Amino acid sequence: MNITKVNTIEEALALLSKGAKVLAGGTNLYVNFKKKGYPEDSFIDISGLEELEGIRLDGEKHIGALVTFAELLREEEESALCQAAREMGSPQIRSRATLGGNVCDSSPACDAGPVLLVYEAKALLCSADGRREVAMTDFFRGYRQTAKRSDELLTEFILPDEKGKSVFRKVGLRNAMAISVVSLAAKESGGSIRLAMGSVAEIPVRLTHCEALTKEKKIDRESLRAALSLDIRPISDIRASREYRFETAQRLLCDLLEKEYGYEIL
Amino acid sequence: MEERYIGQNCIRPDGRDKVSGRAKYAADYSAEGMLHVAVARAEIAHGRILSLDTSAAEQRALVYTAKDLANNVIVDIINDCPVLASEKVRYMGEPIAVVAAGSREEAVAAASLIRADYEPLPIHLDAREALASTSEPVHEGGNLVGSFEHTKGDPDAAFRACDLVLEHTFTTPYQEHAYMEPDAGFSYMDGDTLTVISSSQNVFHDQRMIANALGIAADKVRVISATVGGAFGGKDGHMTQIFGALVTQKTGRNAKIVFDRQESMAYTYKRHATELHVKIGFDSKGKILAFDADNVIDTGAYVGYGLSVLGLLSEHIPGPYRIENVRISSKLAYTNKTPASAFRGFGAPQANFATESLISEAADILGIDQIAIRRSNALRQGDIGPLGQKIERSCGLTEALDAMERSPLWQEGKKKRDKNIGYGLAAGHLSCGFGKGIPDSAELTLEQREDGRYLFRIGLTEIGQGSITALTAIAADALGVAPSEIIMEMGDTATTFDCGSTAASRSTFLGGNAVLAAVKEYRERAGRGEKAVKVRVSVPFPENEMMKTIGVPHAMYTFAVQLVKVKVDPVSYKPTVLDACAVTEAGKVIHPMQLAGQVTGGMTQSLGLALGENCRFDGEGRMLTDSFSNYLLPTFTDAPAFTVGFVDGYESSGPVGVKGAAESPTVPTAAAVNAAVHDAAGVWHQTLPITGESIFRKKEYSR
Repeated sequence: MNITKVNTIEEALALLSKGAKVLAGGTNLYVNFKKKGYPEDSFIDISGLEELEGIRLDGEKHIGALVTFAELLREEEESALCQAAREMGSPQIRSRATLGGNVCDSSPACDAGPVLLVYEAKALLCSADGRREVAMTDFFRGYRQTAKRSDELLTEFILPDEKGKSVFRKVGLRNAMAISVVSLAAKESGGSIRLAMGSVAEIPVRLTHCEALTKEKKIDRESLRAALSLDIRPISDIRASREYRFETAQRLLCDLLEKEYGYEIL
Repeated sequence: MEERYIGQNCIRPDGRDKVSGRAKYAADYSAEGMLHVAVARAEIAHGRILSLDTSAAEQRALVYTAKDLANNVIVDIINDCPVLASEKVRYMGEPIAVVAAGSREEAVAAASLIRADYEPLPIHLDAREALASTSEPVHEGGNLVGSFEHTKGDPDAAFRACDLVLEHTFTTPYQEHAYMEPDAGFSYMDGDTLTVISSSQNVFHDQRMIANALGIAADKVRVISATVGGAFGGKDGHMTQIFGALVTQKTGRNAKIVFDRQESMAYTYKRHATELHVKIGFDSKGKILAFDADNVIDTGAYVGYGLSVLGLLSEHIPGPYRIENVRISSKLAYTNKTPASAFRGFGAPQANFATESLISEAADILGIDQIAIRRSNALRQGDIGPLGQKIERSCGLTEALDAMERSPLWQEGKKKRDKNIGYGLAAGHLSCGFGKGIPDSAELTLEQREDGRYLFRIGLTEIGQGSITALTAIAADALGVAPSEIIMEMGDTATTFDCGSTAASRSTFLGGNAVLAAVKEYRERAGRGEKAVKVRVSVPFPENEMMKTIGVPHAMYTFAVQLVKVKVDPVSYKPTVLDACAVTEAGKVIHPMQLAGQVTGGMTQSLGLALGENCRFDGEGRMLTDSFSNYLLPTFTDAPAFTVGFVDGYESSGPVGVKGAAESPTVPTAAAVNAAVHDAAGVWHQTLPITGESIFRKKEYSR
């Protein structure tokens, strides 16, 4: 394994087109290396790329891919993004783990995924051929698969500057250093609520059927349950069974709609 | 004796080196040109070894197998465990070869080239099934390792006369010690003496194991305990010692062996899993009239200290109560899993979970206060215990219950409150010392050095528990000097005498008595005008008259009463412990801060057992939970606020009134959590761990 520290995006893109892989905070990669052995691959260490740092406002919000969860926690106002950052890992991990890394690792349980989905954020992907924006709803493609090509570098997330209360909730097996059993993000938008969940399908998912029901302030519990069963496909694994995941997802959703957005679930 | 340091929070003699990073743990020892040692391990859980091919590994490293050992056995209570498997493997990951190379990476890479051909055998994973199975047992003599039977009074008749009889089958999982420092050792030749610096809680046992396996005289093997980063019973046996010593014996070179976390978690000793069928009969006022327990204990592929756990679990399962009619039947079984051995509490935490959960359920049904039901049954000094043993030593359970009743948390729990919050209480006891029939004494020397300081040498080890602090405080007060005038040298087979294992909550008790005896003799001889006095004393552990089986029952117990406040999340049912109160009766307290540390640490360890820790195996016997990302220990955010109190007790046989206390905090925690979860969610658990999902299932099925 060899690691090259890159100083410019151009340098990074040149190496990516030759098959290098990306090392950002390293909080997932190094755990995997330790478990599975150090790979033969070449890596580029992008931690010196200043263009990928910081949060910038210009009508939209630009969050650099290298922004850490600790920075999000420090700089974001109380919001779903901030709450997700607070629930993620431990202080040590939060100070290294980056938003871009969390998303590109594309675990179904990644804490940032559902939040970026309800913000209707876009990912900015750069390659030697140019740059393109991909909506987060199109970013997660399948289990640990994303729309990002191997020669592309995710440089920032673009969040529309929208008002509307956003919330993040997570159920884990302990209070810190816990991979979620179910996570839920919500954001008020117009007359309804955007909803997304993690750990209940092979990718973080928007709850489009459930969202459709939030146009009315009174929701029938059984209808919500039926809608949810169309939106999510939980599985059993070492952390939880499929049944517990589904029931917890449903209870979490009802509780959030009632407590945070004043819905009546009947 | 004026007590200037006893009862005060004196500074730990080893504290400064630990917090500054100067303390040397076994893995910190290195030497130029040393060999790194790795272990090749079995890839199936049960099978006969048909052939072992080490040729590819030998191209790259030094390889040693069973044939390189003088005696391929780890000497212990039962000699059932080879150092390196040669005919048969009995658990996945059992060592089959030792590999040494110039770097750890080379050694690990070479070890991975070792190939064994096996004739696979049916795998035993469940203890009860293993006992009934007709397929090839784990060991030739069958899967039953040992049993314990005890009857007192007439339980059958007594159960018929009860107003309430409750019974359930309780199960508890394997638990990982999760000491901060993984197993490690460094070995070298010092002249003609093979020297091993090890992370160990029993250096004299290590010396015997190494000498026997390598076929060298015990006095040509020296074992020194390095600074030990936690042990909890898990470093009382063979982990790395013989492997490193073998390489040094064969090569004459320095050798270093350090297990990584995966090896330490998957392949070293665990807490025994149990299946306990307990039945208790009460009268309408909550008096326990009859008790019956049928226990199966899973010791994995090798017995380790399993027979002691069998004895202690059986001794403790009736609880610290007066019961006339008792029947206990326990069996210890082999399975094809990682061996289980000593773990803080030695079976008592598992036993307590069953019995105390039933007592809480009975009090709930009978409408009796949880403290009152325990107080009315509590053993008192002079009583006859459930095994027929006379309770001769200090017995402060009633006082501990009284103190708990006065605690703010208990008072808070009596007033109604948030419906998602529950309060749960449990009481427990834990024996001190090895028990009758097992040699249990400490031998110590005392001399005054030229610089005027007093040097004590004792073969017990400091494993983080703080016995060095307690013994130093006792020595300082006995001699009337400051603690800085005391040097306590521990855990070195060349300079100290065999005091047995640092286990069984015995070190401060026994070591303290040895310190006092040594100072007394020193004073007498110095008082007669003797010059350069060098004292050598040996003191025994007091035992009772009765012996049920080797080591059981004990003469002395420490008592613990614990109360926890648990919130069960209304959405996910996830239980969170918000607050905890613990009262301990351990005689006189030498160091309140250190004992409080033992209590909060022990309770946290058992909160893990109660709420999430669970070593899981797949159908082939592979441990699935072999890292901290899938074996979930409680984090600081999962641990509650603790209030710790002590009964002001005094045990006349102990040094300045002390009893042992290191293990007792682990005992009643799981049952207290179970009761609190019931109080909050309305369901009783019979299986650990208790999780959001288990509460969900109980509630779904109870509808």
